[in-house]
Amino acid sequence: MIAGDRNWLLIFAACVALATIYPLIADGYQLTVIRDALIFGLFAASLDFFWGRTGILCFGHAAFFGIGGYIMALVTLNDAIPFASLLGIMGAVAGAAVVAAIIGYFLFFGGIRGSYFTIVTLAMGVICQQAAVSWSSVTGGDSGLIGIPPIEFDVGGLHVDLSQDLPSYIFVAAIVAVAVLTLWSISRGRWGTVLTAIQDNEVRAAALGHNAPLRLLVTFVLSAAIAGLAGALYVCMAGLVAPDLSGLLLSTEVIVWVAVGGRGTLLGPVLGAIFIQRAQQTISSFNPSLWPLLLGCVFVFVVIVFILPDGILSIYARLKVLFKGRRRAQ
Amino acid sequence: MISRRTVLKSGGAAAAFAMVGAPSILRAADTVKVGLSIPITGLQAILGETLLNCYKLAAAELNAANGIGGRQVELFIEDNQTTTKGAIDKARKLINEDKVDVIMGTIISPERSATLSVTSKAKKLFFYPTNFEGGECNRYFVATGPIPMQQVDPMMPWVAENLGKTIYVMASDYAWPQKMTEAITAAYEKAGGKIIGADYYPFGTTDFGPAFQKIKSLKPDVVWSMVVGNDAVTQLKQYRSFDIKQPLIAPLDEVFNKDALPPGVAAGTYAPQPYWMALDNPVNKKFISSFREKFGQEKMVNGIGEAGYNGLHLYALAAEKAGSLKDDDVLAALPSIEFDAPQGKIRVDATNNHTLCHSYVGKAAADGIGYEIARDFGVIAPVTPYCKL
Repeated sequence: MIAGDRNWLLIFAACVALATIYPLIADGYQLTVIRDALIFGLFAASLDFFWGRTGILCFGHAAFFGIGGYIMALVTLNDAIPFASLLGIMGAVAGAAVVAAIIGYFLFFGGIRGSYFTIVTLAMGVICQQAAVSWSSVTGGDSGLIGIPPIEFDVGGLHVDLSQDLPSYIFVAAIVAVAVLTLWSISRGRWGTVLTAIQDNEVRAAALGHNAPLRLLVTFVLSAAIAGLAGALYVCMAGLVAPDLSGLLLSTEVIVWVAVGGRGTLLGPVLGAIFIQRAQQTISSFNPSLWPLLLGCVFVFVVIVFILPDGILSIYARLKVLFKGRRRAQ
Repeated sequence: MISRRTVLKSGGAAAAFAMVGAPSILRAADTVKVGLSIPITGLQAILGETLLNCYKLAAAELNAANGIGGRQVELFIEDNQTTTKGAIDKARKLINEDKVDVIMGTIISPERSATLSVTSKAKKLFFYPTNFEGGECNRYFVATGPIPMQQVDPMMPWVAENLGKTIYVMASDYAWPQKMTEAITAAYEKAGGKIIGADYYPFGTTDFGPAFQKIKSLKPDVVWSMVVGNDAVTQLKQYRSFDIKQPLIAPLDEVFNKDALPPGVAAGTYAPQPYWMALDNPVNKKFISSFREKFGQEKMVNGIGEAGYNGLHLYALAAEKAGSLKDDDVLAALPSIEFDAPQGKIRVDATNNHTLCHSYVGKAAADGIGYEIARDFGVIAPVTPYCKL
């Protein structure tokens, strides 16, 4: 474990160093590209914090991203609200957390796990997108809300204005670094160990006195809060929020980023998000129809290599175990 | 993309010839860079392909003549994947990396507002071809398709007189049908008609049965559908299986009917559009024949594609007249331009940068693909009380 921790910290430090020198070699446009990719990287890390540690897949994580985005938009577009940027971010984080707490409470304490949880969260994402489309008096309908101002606030006499490329890049990179480091230190400590125990055998973990549903719920809420933060940051950088930012497609994409980057590593999903998005935009510029095909192949490859630990060969062994189990049951 | 080069090449010979006598704004080496943000993949891929082909046709026509003021048109084609994120990323790339002179394209509203959020900040011209719910008011935003009042206001007295005095509305639950229904209600009541029911469906609805039951008991004179995309396919099939006798007005066109609907399903339905392939004029005949020559004899073209084609030609004429490619100069010249489009002569209204489009009601032919012109309302000016530029 100690060696693993050291490696993780080394890679983290290398990433921070890279992010620090990047502004020296990149122009404003390239900075905005990486800045947005980093925000989605934070979003991927938030999913990984839950999925990677508990083994339970949330298939509607974009709902929290979207909720954060819409709250941020509504707060900052309302001229009557002071300190709009800060309040908006807090509202976005809190809003996503509250929704996750309500849904998570009924699911976790109702004993919903595994694929049932995945299906319910899938429906949640679809509902969120449809609500954003239909409730047009508040959400602006399918064209969304446009004209969201850049983040701007005063902190201890220092005026922070993120309308320019470089300051917004630095701000986002710093938030992502701090958030990933925090999530990592939570998940490597006692909290993470207990989650692993719950993942391995929830009944035994409960028998040892751990309140499994509560632990899962708190992890889920924290994960949703970070997703809400990412949503709030993104809509300010993009200047608009639209229904598909809470939809099924984004929920699916973030799963791919996490799976390709390496589930349970927190840093991997960030890199996965950056890498895949850059690849997507570059490849689609010279051949639009190539990208979906390529992404599918990469995903299948990654699943076979990393999720089936022994690669393709393990399929045969797994099938054998499956059929043996059946015979015994008869 | 390869096609970018093909476009250049196809106009290459003509360009070499044209450069000899080129007027003063061109520096021969430069091209006019037109950025296209098109849904090539994703939900709107069917309509996206036609739209892209229409831009390619317009560019090829310009390049075969004198380009724009002697400069060749170079298309920068980007796929926005029919998503908000894709549209933002691609608009930024077109402006910052490719340094395009103008952005054109996009179909559904999220693509439009995402692109507009980038172009309005950059003060870059953006030509939008699709009929939409209206409500946009931005100096650098030019709409070449109609807003609801342009389609509905002239049409409702005709509906009241020819189809009946009561309408039942079935629509997908989003902004365009909502605004359309508002416009329909207002204009229809003025014409002595009445909306007797309206149902809004979330995307992905598979059962329209309850509404058809209601229609059987309420007996409206007309059913007006604004159910779109895949849901429209389901709804039309059920409309047929419920054997509803009332005339149906549905937002269909030649491309959708051919590529998305089962054969014959759309037969006999009505639709308001600024353009139909059936329009009998020499410009349209030439438009369709060059389109088919370039992209295939069986290909259909529709109102969105034609509005895209018009957009590029309007831009070219305005830029030539301005003698400049600066956004503000082109904008200043734009309202004084008239373009002889396949739909008829069109121009842009200076007060809102929307286009004075033609308005036609089409009736789908027995094959359920093509349309005949049921009524021509002439050119309708866009009236936007919310927008005074």
